[in-house]
Amino acid sequence: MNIEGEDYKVTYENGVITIAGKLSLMLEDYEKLETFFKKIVESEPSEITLDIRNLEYLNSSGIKTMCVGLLLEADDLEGLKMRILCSEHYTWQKETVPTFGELMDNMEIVFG
Amino acid sequence: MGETNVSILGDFTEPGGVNFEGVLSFSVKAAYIQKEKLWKSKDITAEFLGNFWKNILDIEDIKAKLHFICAELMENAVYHSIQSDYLIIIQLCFSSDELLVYVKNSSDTKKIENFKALIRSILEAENLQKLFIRRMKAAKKSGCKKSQVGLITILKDRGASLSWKFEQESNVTNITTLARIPLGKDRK
Repeated sequence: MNIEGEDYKVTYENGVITIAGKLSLMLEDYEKLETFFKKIVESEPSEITLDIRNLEYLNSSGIKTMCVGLLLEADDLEGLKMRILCSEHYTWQKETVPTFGELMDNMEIVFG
Repeated sequence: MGETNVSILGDFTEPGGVNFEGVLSFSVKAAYIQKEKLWKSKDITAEFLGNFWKNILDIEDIKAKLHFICAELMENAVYHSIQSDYLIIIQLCFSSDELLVYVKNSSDTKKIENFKALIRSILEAENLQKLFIRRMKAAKKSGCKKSQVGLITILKDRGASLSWKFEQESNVTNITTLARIPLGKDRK
């Protein structure tokens, strides 16, 4: 499963969601990503890895889509473990991703 | 011309009130460019401003910070501007110890009170992290499409302060948003 745009690529393979590039869509254009996340959560995996190590930029509508459409939805699934792989290289990830910690009980944020 | 009612929220300073070392500004008529193209040009402008001032100031982190702040403020301007001859203006001013980003756009006066209430809730919040989490949970519950987290993220994570000037006429209100980014100790 994947979504590809001019500046970004989102894939889901073997329990790993990888988002790479620059994601700054208009609010209404995030619906396809919301649907993408919804399908993944509805398949009830026991573990999801969200790999954003190559996600250079994410606008606030993207932050909202990630938090609401994926993390909070995933939090409703009992026993689901979420792992977010981040990069120290991108300032926004260091500043913003740790604040997602309170959205899910079973979440691990890994910087590499 | 009707009467203009001016109101300020936060610690707003007029561009004329500061002695700047440099100013870059960009303006476009809201109705002139298609929204999709304006959206793309907003990213290009924000990235350029980040690169330009990183080069001038020699602060690595300023690039990403400016990119995010300029892009978010311009996104709000693109969304809220009324389709007419009104201008969207972004002006980036550099004084010795801070960067000031002004973004000016028009909006429908009927929407202003709700926007002011949103701003007050952010400016008066004791804990922005808790406000962020509350907003996310509320958005999930209500299915609300608006994110309303751009301004919170600028304050919470990007180390800038925000203030607003409203120039309200009967149908149209001009909104100037100011983001102040201290340069302080990071500067080489």
